[in-house]
Amino acid sequence: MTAGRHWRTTFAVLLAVIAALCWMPASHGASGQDAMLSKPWGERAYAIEFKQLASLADIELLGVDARRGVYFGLRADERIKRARLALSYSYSQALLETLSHLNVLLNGEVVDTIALSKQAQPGTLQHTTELPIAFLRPHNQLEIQLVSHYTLGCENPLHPDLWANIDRGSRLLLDVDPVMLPNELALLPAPFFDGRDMRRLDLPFVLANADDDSLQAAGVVASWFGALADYRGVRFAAHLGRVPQQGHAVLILGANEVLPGMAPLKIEGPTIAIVGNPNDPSGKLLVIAGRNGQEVKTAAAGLVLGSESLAGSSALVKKIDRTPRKPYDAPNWVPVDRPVRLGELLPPQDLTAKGQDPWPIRLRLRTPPDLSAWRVDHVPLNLTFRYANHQVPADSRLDVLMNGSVVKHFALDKPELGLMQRLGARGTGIVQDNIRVPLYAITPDTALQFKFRYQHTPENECTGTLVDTRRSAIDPDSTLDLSGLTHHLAMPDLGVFYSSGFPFTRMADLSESVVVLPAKPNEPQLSAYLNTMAVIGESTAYPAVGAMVTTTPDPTQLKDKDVLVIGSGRSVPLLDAWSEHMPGATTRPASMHAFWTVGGALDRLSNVLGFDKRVVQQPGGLGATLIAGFESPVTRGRSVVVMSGATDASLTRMAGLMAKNSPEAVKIQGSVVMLDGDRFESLSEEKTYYVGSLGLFGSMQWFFAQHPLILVFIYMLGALLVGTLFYVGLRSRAERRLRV
Amino acid sequence: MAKPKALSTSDSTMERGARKSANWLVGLPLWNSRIVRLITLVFSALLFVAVVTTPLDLGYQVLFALTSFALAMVLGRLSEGRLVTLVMVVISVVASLRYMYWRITATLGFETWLDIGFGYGLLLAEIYALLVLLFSYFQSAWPLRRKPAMMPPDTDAWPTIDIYIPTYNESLSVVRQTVFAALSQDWPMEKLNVYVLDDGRREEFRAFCASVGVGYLTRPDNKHAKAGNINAALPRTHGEYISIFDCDHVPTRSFLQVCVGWFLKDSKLAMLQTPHVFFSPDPLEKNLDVFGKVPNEGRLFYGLTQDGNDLWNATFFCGSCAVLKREPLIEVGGMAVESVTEDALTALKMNRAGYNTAYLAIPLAAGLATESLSRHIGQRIRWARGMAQIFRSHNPFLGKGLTLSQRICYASAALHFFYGLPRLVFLTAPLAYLFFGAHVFQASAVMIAAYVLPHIVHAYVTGSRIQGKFRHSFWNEVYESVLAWYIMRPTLATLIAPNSATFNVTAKGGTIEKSYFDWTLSRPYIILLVLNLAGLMIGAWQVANNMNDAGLVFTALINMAWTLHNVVICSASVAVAGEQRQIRASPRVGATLTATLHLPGGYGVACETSDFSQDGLGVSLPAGIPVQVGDPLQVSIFRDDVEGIFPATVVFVSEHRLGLRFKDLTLTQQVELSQMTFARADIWTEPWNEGDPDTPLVAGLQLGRVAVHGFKVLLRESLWAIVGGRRWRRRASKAQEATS
Repeated sequence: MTAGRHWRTTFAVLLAVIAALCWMPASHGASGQDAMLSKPWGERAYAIEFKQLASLADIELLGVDARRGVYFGLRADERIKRARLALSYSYSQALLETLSHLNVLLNGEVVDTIALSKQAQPGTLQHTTELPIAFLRPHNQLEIQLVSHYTLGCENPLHPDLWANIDRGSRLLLDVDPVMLPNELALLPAPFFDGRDMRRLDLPFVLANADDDSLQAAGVVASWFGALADYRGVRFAAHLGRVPQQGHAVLILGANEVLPGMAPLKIEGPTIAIVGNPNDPSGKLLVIAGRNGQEVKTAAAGLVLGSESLAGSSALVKKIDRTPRKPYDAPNWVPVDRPVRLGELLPPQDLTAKGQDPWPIRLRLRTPPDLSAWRVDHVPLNLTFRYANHQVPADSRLDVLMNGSVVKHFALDKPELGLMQRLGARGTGIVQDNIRVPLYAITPDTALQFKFRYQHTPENECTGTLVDTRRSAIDPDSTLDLSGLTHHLAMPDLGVFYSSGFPFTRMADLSESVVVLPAKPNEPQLSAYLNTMAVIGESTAYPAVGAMVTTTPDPTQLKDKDVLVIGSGRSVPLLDAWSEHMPGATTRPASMHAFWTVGGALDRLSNVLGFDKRVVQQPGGLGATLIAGFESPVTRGRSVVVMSGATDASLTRMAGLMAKNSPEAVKIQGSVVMLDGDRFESLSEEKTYYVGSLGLFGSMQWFFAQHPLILVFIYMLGALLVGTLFYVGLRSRAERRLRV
Repeated sequence: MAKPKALSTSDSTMERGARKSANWLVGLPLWNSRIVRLITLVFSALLFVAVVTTPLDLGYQVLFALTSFALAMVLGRLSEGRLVTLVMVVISVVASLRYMYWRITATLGFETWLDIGFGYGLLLAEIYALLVLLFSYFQSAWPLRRKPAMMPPDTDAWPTIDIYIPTYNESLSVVRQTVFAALSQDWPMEKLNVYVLDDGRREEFRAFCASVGVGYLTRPDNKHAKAGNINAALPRTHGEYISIFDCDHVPTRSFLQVCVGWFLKDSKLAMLQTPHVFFSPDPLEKNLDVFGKVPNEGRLFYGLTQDGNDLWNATFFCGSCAVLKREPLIEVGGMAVESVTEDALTALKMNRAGYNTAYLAIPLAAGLATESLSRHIGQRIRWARGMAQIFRSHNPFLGKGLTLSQRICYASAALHFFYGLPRLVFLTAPLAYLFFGAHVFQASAVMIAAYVLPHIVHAYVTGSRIQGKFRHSFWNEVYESVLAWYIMRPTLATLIAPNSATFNVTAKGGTIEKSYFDWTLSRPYIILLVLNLAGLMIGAWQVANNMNDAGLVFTALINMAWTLHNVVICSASVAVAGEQRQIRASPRVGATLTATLHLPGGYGVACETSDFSQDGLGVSLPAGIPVQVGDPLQVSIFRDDVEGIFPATVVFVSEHRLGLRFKDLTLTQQVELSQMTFARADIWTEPWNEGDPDTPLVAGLQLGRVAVHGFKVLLRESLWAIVGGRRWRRRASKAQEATS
């Protein structure tokens, strides 16, 4: 538990640093990667585009005095030689050139001023600013300030002519030298993962031997790094028996295994060590080793659960204190066993908003994907918010949005207060309300936004300058209550597999999952495996220390487990045995009707009558690169997800797209998804089974809700039985009454 | 229902089959086992939990409702037997509980104060109605149909009996008949004492009593009205049993012989009640012209409820036409004086003391109904107040001595009288939507219809099956609506201050000399009618203006349908206020008795009576009998072999009918006449059993006609009131001519 909490704090801090600036830059980041000048190791110069740093399309600066900033950090294993800002910008033609300029501020210091002179032709201008290295710190705030005026006389501080625009293609150009870091475990996860680096995590994994235990250890470490990388995405390349030529890598070393070019390590138990990359003096290897397979796994668990307590160049893992996880307790997921305080999800300072029209306060709610809306329409969001309520202009409001759609709207100028609120009011400017959030608005990954917006008071010129001192805050003690909901989900649902690693992540440590790999996995297959584990780790923020990995599955191992099968071609014999269970692709989109409605019944009827012939495009599902889900043939109510590549390369590409948070990956939906080039295509939406349980009562209702005629039958049966009982009882009572 | 013959024969085979299977089912020896019964009950209860709680969406709910209803109807057609009735009761109860479960769990998410007010108001009214429905099913589960117990052949073993005839302000002509009938009892003369208990302390009465040789008892004050009157008489008489007749209830001569037998059989029996039968129409029957066609308000109580109560040993004492045992009566302190319905409370006290009460559903006495609406309402207010007092001060659910079933029966009776407010809520509920747009249900109109209709329809069908002979479909609503406004305040006031109610005597035996419209009494119904008509118009306007919004149109239509129903009920209630004139001072009883006319010429004509009254006879004659108006003659009436000869004058002659008025009867002759007419043993049996059976369609049409009539009456009266009532006077003078 302590480990888990530490994880969460680490994450909270990380999130806090970057949240305001770049909430989900992953999608931008992905394309930004390709535009990079070079890799972090090897070459020593690279560029970061603004769109990797900020989620907004462009940075807009409005008004007489406007500032916007971006954050960037510097890796611990690099030293900056030179830093430049290549700014692309445009601005209003109405500005007075003598008074208007752009300031570039680095960590609060003005490092450059760009005059905004009259242009012959409107358009985007370029300007490169040399950033003084002395001002750089590990964490940096780069701000652009617009100081602008359109007249020498009185002016409207918010005049629409006062604007400048910073292009998202503006770049930060960095020249760096590698830094020789000591082999120090206390620095972990750096240098292998550095939270200040906002680019994708690119880390090779080296396995001396692909035995089950090493694979399992590698998977645990991969999921840990996947969790750390979070929105950045990962790319893990697997190397069998060879150390990469440059840079950092993870090395899984089994019993008596030695890699060419490396000095043998002295292993005396489950070992975690950092050694230099023999091929690259500035590269480091994170060694997970043991005298036997069990010790390797112990070492991996020791790393991911206790990295903060490690020190020195090498450490022996004594004992792993692994308390069993409870279902749905992934640190990344909103707790569903109690109401959650919003303050737990975001630190209080990030629940505040400054200004007339501040950026929305955003919370990312990752919830168990199998929350059932059965018999529950709403969940309560008990919201308290505060705002300075003096002279609030009309139409000022707070919008509560879920995934962009409005859930509730508050008028700030005249809050509607209930009688009880008036009586129990803690003061003006504090509004409390119990919002009924429709359950359908809550997806497995929901963006909950609080958008304050104060209308500008229409002011005449010369009535004073704009002092934007509005402050608004969401009370951290506001709660969202997801407790008491049942878990029940129609499967297969590959959408939740991609977004949440579900159903494997029901247990955050994957302790009820088995990963089946080809008997002799090759490097591409291993890459696919490691990247997939990273995706799963990212969704839970907990390493998959409980997952069982096997290349030789035996049915008893698969009993009561969710099974993830990764392979290519015909490399996994299990898939041949299960080929009949693989869902086929249907020629038309699946029923628009819910399963239990009359419409659904009609759909099923037409299925039975053969109006809806299924065309199975992929017999056995092994001829194409696809992801397929189906109910486990071994245990009912358990799931199998198969990631199968037509070739090794396509398998790796498929896992890679998922791991680097490719926008294409959100198309992974339904029960069968095929990869065609770099595009995913969902072939079937058919649901064939359910996971989770509605409880005894709920299951009963669920069953009868789909079988109304059986309900009629038991109704009549019960009436007949009870009627007979009454008849017999009343008749004998009447006889007694009249006998006296 | 006219059915093709072939079908009916096949029906009868089916019926036979159904009877066989029913007999087989209830005859199974396994029902003798307590454990089997318990298991069956628990099992069925579990089934019902599923039926009641399973939510279905619209299509399936409709399917479910239609299928169950069809099955219930088929079942109902199979057999008239009690088993099927009980099964249908269970079906109806479950349908209602299912509705109420859905109602409470799915329709109460109100948002505005208006909705909350109207919504919960309606819900409470519905819960009340459901409770009353459940109780009434309980009460009428198994009408006992008790048969008279034979008296021992040896009259020496027969007990001594006092007949009390309490009177206060009724005219002697009313009381005489009762006294004569009491004297005509087939009971050993030395064991029978008749007492007139005159709270009016009238000399005329004393003289009359002396002349016919019955006891005449008075007391110095009139404390506690009738109860006090009886209590004052108790120590002054010495019969083992006391039979009480209101002064206008004329007992048949067999009354005591038929009733007392059960006391000899059951030593714990303290009270035996017989039905109250009226040979004159009550104001509803009279003003709606349904006397003899539609069972009147009291029929349900005496035909079914009391008989059903008898099973549970919870027969109420109704103040008249009953026999009480002296000992238990003294033990409970004589007649109860804490309630204005002393009779019911007395029975309750006897039941509490461990004595039995019984009911004999044989009409052995008949009386006059209240003749005007105002008196009818006054009487019902008294009953309602009295039962509310009992509910408040002697709540059947509290206190010792009653079995659960007795508690339910008494509570049901008391609770029934609180219908005033709920009935008014139902009469106005749709207006909340039509006038104010209040959403009293948080559900779509179709969904409401799909859930509420099974509840209502099953209750109607089952109710019609159980009560059809005693109360026609929909008439219950008319009876209740007429009184709703008037009993609402007294019952609610009594709940708060139970002793505020005062006794008001129900005076009977008068004439309404001219037809008139009771504007005062009908005012609430005219207002309700006008409101509902306005609602209809608003609804029509809404429909016309929102033709493209199907949901809105449907909502409006459903509310309009409900409003239309309310219009019919209100209009029928208005029709009741149109008082029809009632000329005859002593109402006639239709009866075919063997008679002989002794004509002045010395020859006799065998004939039959068509009706009789205290003062005269109607005779059916062969054509051509030479009699004139004013002719004196003698008429013989026969009872078995006994002949009574009475002098009479011809007052009316037509081709086949003759009207006679008795002339100068001596006291002996009057007693003899009473024996030949009112006191005949079987005289009330035929009117008791006659009457059309209920078919909801016919009842609905009948009600529709009544409503149209009410409409016409209202329009006509309004017109007259406007034009100044010239025709009024003319009609009034005509009516006077007719009477004089």
